[in-house]
Amino acid sequence: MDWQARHFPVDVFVGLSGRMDDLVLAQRLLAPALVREELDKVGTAGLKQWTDDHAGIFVRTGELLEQAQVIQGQFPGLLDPKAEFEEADAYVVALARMRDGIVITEETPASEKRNPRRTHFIPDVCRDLGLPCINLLGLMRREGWRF
Amino acid sequence: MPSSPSIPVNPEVLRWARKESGYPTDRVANRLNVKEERVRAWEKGERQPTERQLEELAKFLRRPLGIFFLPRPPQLLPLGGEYRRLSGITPGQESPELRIALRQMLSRRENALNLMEELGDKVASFALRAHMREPAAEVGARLRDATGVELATQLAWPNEWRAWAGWRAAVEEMGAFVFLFPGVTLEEVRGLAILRDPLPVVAINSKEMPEARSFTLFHELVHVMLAAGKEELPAIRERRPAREWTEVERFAESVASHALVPESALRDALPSRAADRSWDLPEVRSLARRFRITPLAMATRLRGSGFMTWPKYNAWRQKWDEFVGTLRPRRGGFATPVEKAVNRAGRPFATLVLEALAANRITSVDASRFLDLKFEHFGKLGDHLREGASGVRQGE
Repeated sequence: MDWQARHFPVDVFVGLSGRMDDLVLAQRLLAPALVREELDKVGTAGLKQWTDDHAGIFVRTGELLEQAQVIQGQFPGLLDPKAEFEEADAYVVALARMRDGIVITEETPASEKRNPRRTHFIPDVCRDLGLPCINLLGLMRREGWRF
Repeated sequence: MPSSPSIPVNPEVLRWARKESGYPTDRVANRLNVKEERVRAWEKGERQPTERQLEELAKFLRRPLGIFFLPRPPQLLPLGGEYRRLSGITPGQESPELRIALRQMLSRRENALNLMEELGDKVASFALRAHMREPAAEVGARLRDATGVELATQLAWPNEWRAWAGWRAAVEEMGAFVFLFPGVTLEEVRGLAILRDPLPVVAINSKEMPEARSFTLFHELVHVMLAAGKEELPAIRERRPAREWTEVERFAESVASHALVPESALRDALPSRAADRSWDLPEVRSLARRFRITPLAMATRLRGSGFMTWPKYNAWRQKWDEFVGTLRPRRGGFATPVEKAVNRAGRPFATLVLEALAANRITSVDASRFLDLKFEHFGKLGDHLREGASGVRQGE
């Protein structure tokens, strides 16, 4: 959502959508199915359409469950037992770990927060597990995209 | 279609999650379209739900999926340890709808505290206190002063919606959150208070009509003041016998009515009335409209200042209840998603979320979840908050 609705709106960053589509076609862009549910609830109509058009990028929860539980067991702070909704963090990391991938997130590590409510956010977990973790701009730089 | 594989959840946590949500096994079974025996078997560990059923279960019980794999149920403070004692509600036996409303409001308050600290905002303690030994009129006057709302301003409010918005803003300015909660019947609860400091919460049932909301707001605020004065405890710890508790409720009612209708303003509005005079419905309704409160609240106020005796009040009340029984239920007005979100969470919280988003302290998903508002409405949210309270409209 930070891609399309916040930092790089598709009407301005037109070429970015095409580059993302290329990643999807090459089966290099994947996300847990839980992320899709998250987007269905809070995402924009445009993003919802995009996820519908690219439904193949979503990996079933059951496939990630075991690894996500391992990660959640290792970093209990990732799961807020009081939360009313799904938290996909552990599943995102699990997917990257299972497929030797790179985590793309706009979330910032605990050290960048004034008063972190937990010790580990996605970038912190990736750091501790030795997984590469970058944000959207980092992805563009890594892929050598120029606009 | 091949059947979905079963998932090895922790049955103890599954039972905990269901009970914590307040649902009996039959409602879970109905929702998941399985027999009740199946749910019981899951909870005993004799069978396991499928992946699809587990996802549905997590959604229905409003818990993250991962919770069902924890080695033991989480240790959480009971909800009854958070809200004030409510007549007719036994802590732990709240309806599922009230339980989810309470969880949402507690999360909102906690998120607000986190965001304020993240943004470096000062979180002030709630300063207003009340004691049962004080005269209600005195506490009411103190509460009214603290709102900073002049009588002329109150009398100039063009309608009940504007009055509700004005009172709400004044209370928010005093360091309390004012939330609306949907989905709960008025029969179960009209309003409640979350007795925390800093940032106590006054919560109003969104089904409540605006003129009643104002009274409930002040009534609940008195409970917050009593708790701040160490004279009231959360529901689970409040052990006063029923008769003593009725006194507390009467005190809160009386203080609230004095705050909304100060003594001098009431006397000015009444040309030489005697206590033994009978009151008809139109007279009290007209007086109530002047102060933008309900006729019932006005009758309570008249009784409180001796303008209506208890027997006259009871007679009037009977007539009023009969009249209300003949009315068709009022329908809420239309509200946009942005208006609904701001009405639910209040302007201070909505503003805080926008500030945190602008300062890149939270993601867009966090912001949407905090306000239960799709991100595509956030542009309009900013406009709405900049417009100020003048654009008050009815709705949830």
